Amino acid sequence: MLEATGLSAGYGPISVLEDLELHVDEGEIVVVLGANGAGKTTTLRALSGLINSKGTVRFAGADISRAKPDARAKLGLGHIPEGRGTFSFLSVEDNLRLGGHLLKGRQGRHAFDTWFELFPILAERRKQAAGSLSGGEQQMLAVARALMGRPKMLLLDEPSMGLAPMVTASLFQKIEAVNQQFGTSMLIVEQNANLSLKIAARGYVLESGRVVLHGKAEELLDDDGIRRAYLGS
Amino acid sequence: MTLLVQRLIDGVQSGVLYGSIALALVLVYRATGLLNFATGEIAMFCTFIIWELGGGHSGLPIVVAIIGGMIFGFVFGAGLERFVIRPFEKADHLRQSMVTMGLFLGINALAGFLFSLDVQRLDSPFPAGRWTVGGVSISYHKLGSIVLLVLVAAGLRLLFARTRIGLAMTGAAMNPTSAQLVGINPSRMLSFGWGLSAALGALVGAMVAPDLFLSTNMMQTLLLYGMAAAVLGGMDSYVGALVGGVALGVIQALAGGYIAFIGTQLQLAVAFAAIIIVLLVKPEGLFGKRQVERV
Repeated sequence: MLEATGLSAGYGPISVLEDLELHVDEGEIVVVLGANGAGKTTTLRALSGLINSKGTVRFAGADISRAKPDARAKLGLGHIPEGRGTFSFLSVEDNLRLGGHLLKGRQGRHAFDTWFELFPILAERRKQAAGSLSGGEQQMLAVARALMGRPKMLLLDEPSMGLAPMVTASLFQKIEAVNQQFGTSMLIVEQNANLSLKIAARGYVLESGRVVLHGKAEELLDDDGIRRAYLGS
Repeated sequence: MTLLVQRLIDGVQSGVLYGSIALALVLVYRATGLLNFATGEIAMFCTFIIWELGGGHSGLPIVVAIIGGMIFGFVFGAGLERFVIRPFEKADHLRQSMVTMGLFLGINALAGFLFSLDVQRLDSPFPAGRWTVGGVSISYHKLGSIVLLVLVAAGLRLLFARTRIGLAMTGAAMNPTSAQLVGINPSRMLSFGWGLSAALGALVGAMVAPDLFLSTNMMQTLLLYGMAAAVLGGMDSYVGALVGGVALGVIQALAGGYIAFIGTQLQLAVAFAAIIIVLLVKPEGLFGKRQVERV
């Protein structure tokens, strides 16, 4: 589904990613772990085209290395950015409509029901401004908005950030449900290694912009180094 | 009483014109936070195009000429954004505003060169004559321009609230990164905003010129009032722009009419005093959004 080879990126003269190799198969959930500053967010930003990068990115059979973010979205690559990126003055419904921007026809852009079923709280808040929602609700809105566009694949940037443990657990359940129900491939950047590895098939560990470890999720969960670094035991 | 109503009507009519120019400013400002100083000159240039199409040389019916001028305006505005403003995309607003200052001077000179430095006449699309009820009278041109511009403002509001492209423009203005991620091209939305702004300017020009005159300097005072109206209404609100304009027009007409020493000389000062008071009490303007957000 997605394959990055020799991916290097940075901000101005500062290089963050160096020669990154990474792939996600169709229907797979893959987690990227790493400390703050390891280059996790930069990886996602390079993959969705928000920053320029060197190297090759192939998505759904096409070379998208030079494509602009909106062109990548058209091909079915969804990205839920760090900090959720909701349109804060717009209502929940308008946020979802914008998520469905690329869909043809008014009906598609108003087809909220699937996502309201998955996230009932959004149905209750449908007329409220997105900025007035709680952090957890905004994260759900961000997921639902990305799903409105029927992406083949989702990039999620620390969905658990700032959420209470209970809310995080329920969010990951829903992410897994979406993956199973719609077959959406996912690349999740996370600090919460425990929860994310449990729903993932594979994981990468990033350190200073390089992949230092890569393997099956259950192997990573059992790895002593990972346990010490990210699971606190 | 009749005099009061007459003054109110006059105030509303000039106010709608101020409000429409404010709307043209807000269309661009909302998208990037850029104050386009060339808004008035773009409108003036388009009005000369209308004059060329209609009365001037081609002799098309004035309504057709106005529509033609608005279409020209849309292309002109979108083109200016694409080729003059976008190269400064990464520059700060001060530098971008300086570029629009340059456009102001350039377009003004170009209009003098291409069209005419003399004052010209432009026909109204509305019938001549006045409508009189109980001692109060208003020309069909004034009445028509109030109705038309209010309808256009309402149409713009519908565009932004109800249509796919309107919502995309709003989204691109609010959060360009997220807009890109849902497949919107923010630069294209920006061009579209400039196009709409210039088309609206063309219409305002066609409403102003028959009442006053058509010349290369016709929009300059109006631009000042438009800026004032936009600030009063809250810079990022379409409704606010129009309401701000009307409020300004009415304050100006009443103060000028009833307070002897103000007369016609100090009208502009009264308008600005009103703005200062509003901004002291409500810094975001009458309809502006306060930047409150839960994070």
